[in-house]
Amino acid sequence: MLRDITARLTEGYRLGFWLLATAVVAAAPHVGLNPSVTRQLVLIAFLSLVVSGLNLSFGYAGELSFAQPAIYAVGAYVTAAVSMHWVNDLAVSLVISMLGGLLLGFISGIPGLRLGGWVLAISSLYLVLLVPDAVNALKRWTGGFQGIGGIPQPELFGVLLSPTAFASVVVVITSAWFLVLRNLVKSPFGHSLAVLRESSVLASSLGISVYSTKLRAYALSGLPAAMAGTLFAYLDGFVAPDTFSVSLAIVILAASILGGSRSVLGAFVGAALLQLGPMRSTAFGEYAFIAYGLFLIVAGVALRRGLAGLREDLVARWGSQRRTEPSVVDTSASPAELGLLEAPQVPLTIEGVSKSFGGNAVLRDVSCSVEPGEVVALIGPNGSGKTTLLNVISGYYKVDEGKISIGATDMTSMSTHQRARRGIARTFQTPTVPPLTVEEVVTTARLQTDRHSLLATALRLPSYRRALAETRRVARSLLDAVGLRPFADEPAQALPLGTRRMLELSRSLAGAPSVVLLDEIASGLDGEEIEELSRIVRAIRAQGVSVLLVEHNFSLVRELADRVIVLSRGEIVVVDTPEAVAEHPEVLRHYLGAPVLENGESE
Amino acid sequence: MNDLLEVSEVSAGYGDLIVVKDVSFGVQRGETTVLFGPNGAGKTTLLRAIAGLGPLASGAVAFDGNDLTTLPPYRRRSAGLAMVQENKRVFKRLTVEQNVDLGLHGIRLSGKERTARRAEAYDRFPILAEKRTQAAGYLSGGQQQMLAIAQAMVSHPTLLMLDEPFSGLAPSIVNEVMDTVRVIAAEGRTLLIVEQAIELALRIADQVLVLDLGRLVHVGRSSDPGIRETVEATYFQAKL
Amino acid sequence: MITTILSGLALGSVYTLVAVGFNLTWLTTKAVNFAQGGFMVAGMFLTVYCYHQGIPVAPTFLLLALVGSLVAVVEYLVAVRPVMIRGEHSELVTTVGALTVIEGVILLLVTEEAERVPFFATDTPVVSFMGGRVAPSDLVLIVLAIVIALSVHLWTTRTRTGLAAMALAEDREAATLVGVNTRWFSLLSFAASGVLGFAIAPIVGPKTFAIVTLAAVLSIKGFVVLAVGGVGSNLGALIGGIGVGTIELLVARFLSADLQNLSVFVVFITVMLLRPRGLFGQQSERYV
Repeated sequence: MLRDITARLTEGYRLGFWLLATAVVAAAPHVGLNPSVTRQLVLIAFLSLVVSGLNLSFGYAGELSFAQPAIYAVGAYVTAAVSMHWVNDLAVSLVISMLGGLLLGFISGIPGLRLGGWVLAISSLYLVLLVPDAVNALKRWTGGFQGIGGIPQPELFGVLLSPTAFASVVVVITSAWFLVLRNLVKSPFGHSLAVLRESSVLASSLGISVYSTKLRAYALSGLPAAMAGTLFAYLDGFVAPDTFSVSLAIVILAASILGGSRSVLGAFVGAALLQLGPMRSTAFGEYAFIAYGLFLIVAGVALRRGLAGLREDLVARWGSQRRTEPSVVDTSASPAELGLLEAPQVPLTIEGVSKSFGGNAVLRDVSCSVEPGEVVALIGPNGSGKTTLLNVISGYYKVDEGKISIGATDMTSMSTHQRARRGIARTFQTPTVPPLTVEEVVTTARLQTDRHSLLATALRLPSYRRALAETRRVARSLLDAVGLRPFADEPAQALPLGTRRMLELSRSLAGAPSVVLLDEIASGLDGEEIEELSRIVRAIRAQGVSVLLVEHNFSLVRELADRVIVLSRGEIVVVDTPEAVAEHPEVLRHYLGAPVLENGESE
Repeated sequence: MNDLLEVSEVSAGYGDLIVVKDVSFGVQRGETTVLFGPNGAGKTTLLRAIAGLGPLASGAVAFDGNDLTTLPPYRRRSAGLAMVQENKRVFKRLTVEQNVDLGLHGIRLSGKERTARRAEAYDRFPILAEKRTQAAGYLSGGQQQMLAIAQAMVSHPTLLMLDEPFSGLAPSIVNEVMDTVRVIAAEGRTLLIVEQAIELALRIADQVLVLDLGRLVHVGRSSDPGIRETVEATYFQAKL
Repeated sequence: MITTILSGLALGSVYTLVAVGFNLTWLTTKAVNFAQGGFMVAGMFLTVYCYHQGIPVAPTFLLLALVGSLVAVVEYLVAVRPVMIRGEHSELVTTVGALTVIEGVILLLVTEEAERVPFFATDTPVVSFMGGRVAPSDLVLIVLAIVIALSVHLWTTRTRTGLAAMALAEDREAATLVGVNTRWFSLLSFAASGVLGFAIAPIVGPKTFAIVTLAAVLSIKGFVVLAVGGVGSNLGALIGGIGVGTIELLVARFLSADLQNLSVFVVFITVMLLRPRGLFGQQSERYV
């Protein structure tokens, strides 16, 4: 409670400070700021807007797209056309170009969706190449290669803006955008981007639709570039295509990395540094390219988390010192504490599932079920198909034959994130946690159950605040139940392995699942940690959740499992209690003797 | 020093997930050592660490008296250490011939010696001679396994490491592969085999090692009374 | 019409040569070296310099090969090897950085203007060929592209080192186990791509003019051809290049010059949507 109040106050102070700073800077041009300095300020604002767009798709979502100069161009030329041929109003131009930016941003992301990073990078760079061609083709409105001049001085709601007034407006608009950006990234939506960046496999398992989230990020990243384009067109009343070049794309990338691609104000810092430094002095200009290039190389090599995460790198380094602290946490997980999960209690049913990879049958006609309130262990020798079965249930592979249902819902044709939303949660053998705090990690599983509209997020509307408070309350209760509450604000990636496993476990519960799939959750842990895990799994079972456990540690299986499914070479050998399985002669043969196929076929 | 391979207090894993914990043992020249253990025991990780495919978190490995950890992985083959990975990992897009030839890569031999080695390989595995020009991906599982062994044998290794050579094979093929391994052992080569199939592997083992959850829980000989029960017990941890 | 096609084949040959350069490094490092286009343009300027200095043809080629291998090896050591192990696309950014450095050096030492690159120090007139008019340099270019693409293809399939490279490309660990020195291979393949990029410049230059901005364009379009033909396939690079170049110039001639880049883009997107692995590309393995 007190924490919430302090958080509110801090936010209030922050907002107040931000508004004050904006007012001061906006007023500066009127109070005697040197016109050339004002101009630099305005240029920095433009660059920072464009860079912030890249930060959104690259720094946060992890996808490198070079489309910014093309969107910038669209903003500028659309403004030129609108203001010269229709109505000259800054607000109107802004709105229209922002729509164009949304659209082009969205489209530019499509090729990369299925085809990955390189295709995205090249196709977006290609868009920049197409700008001069498009400009030339639409000569009538764009003035062709020479550029178009004569864009009128901007009017805002009928008021003609003098250069100083325009500068102030630029400051205000830029500031407003950064505020919105900050609201967007420091929110569940921003966390979903972080999850996506970390691993799209993880994202799907949490119910996040990879495609739709990426597209949203690309679309949003087009907004600031388009805005910058509009403002740019009005600045000198002149637009020429050579501004929107591949070189600009490189400068934008360099500025993004320089300021920190994952920091909200980083765009501004990077833009300022580059604008005031290399882009101004002609002496440096000769060396500018070499400097940019070297910087990109050094940044690419030096930053462990693939360029943007300098802060995360430092955290990880400091964090690793924490590993010497004991990882024993006090767990008194009682069903009641986990009882805030209102999941429907339904069984997981697998019927006649077969799966082959390139002619190799990995699963043959597998049928089984996991009832609510039951822990079923899945064991089997190497190559038995356990992992494939788990992945087939999660939805990463489509079955060749058979049916997978949760309760009465047939999930066979659903994608992974759809299944996650229908109540299937899982952990991974190597715990994957994005660079967020422990509490935030748990909330990422509730991104689908607690939806916040982007608008509410951007503007921090009361509906958003309420929903967020509820999400955090749920997350904290779960952390309490597994004894991780003291770590709530720690960076999750700095935790030792055992603790990360617990975190994954509590994350898997946050979405109120009906079915939980645990993939070798005890691997690499020692006795005490395994004890804690067992306690929690028993508490989960008591909740009526269906638990499927893939495990090698048979003593853990004995302790926890109600039933054991033995898989060998893609087929179920036996399903029985742990004791019975341990003494079953067939099982021993499958593990210990020559593998036997019914019909003696070779593979 | 009798031990061709000496593993001393080796720990290995992936990042902070340590799956092999403080393992020490020796492999005697001319003997077949079999490493048993249930899934997840860390057997493959251990073998990979010896081959140089994964880093050692701690400990040391000596091969033929020399510190192996200072030898880059790609040099270990020419030093006499060959490994056949699990899951029949041959170059599936290349032909049988090309796969066999690759087994000779980096080994200094005259043209005649190469031809002789190739002929040897096709002698050992006539089925490979038949399928010389086929892409390895089209061979059956058993044939791929033989190809993998041929690829390793063609370099005349001092120590041959096999990771689950019998897994995923039909019974008839298993017998063939078993015979091949027996012949190789009889030729006096030193073998380190990882296997889960106890019955099979006990037939060819001299020394028996048992790994469980990363730790070496038993070292013995296949002639020890009750060795089979000891190994079986770890699979279901009846003793725990 | 024939003239346009011949010209298109020549243009496509340029793309093919960039794509073959990409293949060389991709095979051994799984990194597409965005700086490849820069190698060519830098080579062009070096050729002009040699021409003005009166250096005869053979030593010029030697110099180009030497400088090319050096530049490429330095790039490999500084910008590629350190990030290779990551698995993320860091090499995308570092090779873009490398390209930028090369562009910067050209701007610094030479000029930002376009320069004509003389073909073997002579100004040969256009000739008639198969019913169309074509510059001799174009013909040489087409022949060279075919020869080089085929040679690299044959190298990978018929020689011991080529075989090792293919093994490396398929399964790096297994290649290490059979004794392939993967690091050395990676370094040498970069050197080879540098030699290719720089040494082919005197033949490509006359067609395209040497100008800094061309570097990125070559890399981008070269990548398109690579993707369309199938990453890793040199035959694909050849067919893809020929196809793309011809389409591009046919569109430019018979539709509009403004549509030429767009047409290539359309081909790119269409092929990627219909056959993501490209014409001759291999199915990538599944993994989760």
